[in-house]
Amino acid sequence: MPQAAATKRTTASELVTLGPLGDEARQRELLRRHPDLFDPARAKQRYLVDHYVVATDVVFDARQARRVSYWYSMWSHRHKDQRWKGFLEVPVTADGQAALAWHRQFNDSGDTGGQP
Amino acid sequence: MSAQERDFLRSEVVTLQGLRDDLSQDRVLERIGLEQRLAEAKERLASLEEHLVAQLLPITFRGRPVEGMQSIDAGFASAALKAFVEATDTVAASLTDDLKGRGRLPSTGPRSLRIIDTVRGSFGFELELPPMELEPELPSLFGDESNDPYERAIETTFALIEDAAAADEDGMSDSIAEIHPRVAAKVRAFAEVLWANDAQLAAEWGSRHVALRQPADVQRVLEALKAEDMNERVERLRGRLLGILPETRRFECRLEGGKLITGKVDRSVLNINAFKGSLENKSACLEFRVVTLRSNERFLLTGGEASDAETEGHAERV
Repeated sequence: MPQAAATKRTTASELVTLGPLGDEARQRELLRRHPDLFDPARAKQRYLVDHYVVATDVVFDARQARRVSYWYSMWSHRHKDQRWKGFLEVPVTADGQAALAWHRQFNDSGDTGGQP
Repeated sequence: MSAQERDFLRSEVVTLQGLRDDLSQDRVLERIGLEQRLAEAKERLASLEEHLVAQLLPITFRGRPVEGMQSIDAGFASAALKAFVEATDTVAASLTDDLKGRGRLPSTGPRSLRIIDTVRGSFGFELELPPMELEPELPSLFGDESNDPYERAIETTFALIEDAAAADEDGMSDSIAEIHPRVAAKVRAFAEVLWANDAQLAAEWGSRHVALRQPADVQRVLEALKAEDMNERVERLRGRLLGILPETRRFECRLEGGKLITGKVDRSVLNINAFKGSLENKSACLEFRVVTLRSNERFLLTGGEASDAETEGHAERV
């Protein structure tokens, strides 16, 4: 997965992973092999993360634009005062070290305001 | 929980349903995410809708203290909100005072409007009336669907401002009869704050809107609600109560001498059927609260004492 965007709240981080998901067979295989990543209920239970995915290897038509804009609209601003939260883009490499380092830093900062 | 949160979740559910339905069957992972998010939103919405919802009252100001959508003079804003909330609090207290003595009020703590947000488009505030748990067995207090004294107080305050601005003497007389003249002074005090600061207002409550858009509108409210033009007195008159409509509580009464009086049974009379049974079609000494606004009079029947042959010589006091 090439990139991810996240914000944090008190109870769980919210994470949308944008990446090539492959055809239906590959998606079912991903779900079977990594249910704690791709089943949002299990991801929340295990990692305390609300995790969703958006495919990038599809035609970017009006429907896809609506899907992307939905997630953007959910997490682009803080509800109570409309302040920009910003999106963090975290490249996910094969060994995931950069993502882990970022996640540790994010958690250690104690930031709950959603500011980048 | 606010209506805002409920409305947000309703939109969220509709949006998620649309996104899910638009997905082709081979988008397995995205579908799982949207369906689970949809299920969570529906569950949360159902849980919220089970409970009473706080109602919103957006109120915005314009005029000298307001700088477009940017800001509002803090001194004016606090004075105006204080006067407005004092008006609705006092109207609510007036509507429930008669009931308090009879122990029929819902058992809730102090309740008033709360500020939950600012409103732009001019400048103002979003107020919220927290929900109230009513006793299930509480009878209808006002003869219509609303059984919440504070909701009724806001509606009455709006009606009074609206009628005063429109110089509707009949409408004003009805409202003032319901809340007592001394309480109307609080509504006038709110208009005084607007007038002193060269400010106007617009407010909404459910489907009801009230607006004083021009200084002349505010001035008309001040003129219409002058304390010296309002009065209240108690009168005891002999006559015959011809009938009472139990839902609207309207009565007709023929006084000795032939004059016909119509009006409403005062809300202090809780058991309207017992009241009807003891006084209807009997010669009686009837007690009225008479509220006047300039030349308009409103009669509110508060009690009576039947004393003719139909009571077999026994005076019956209600």
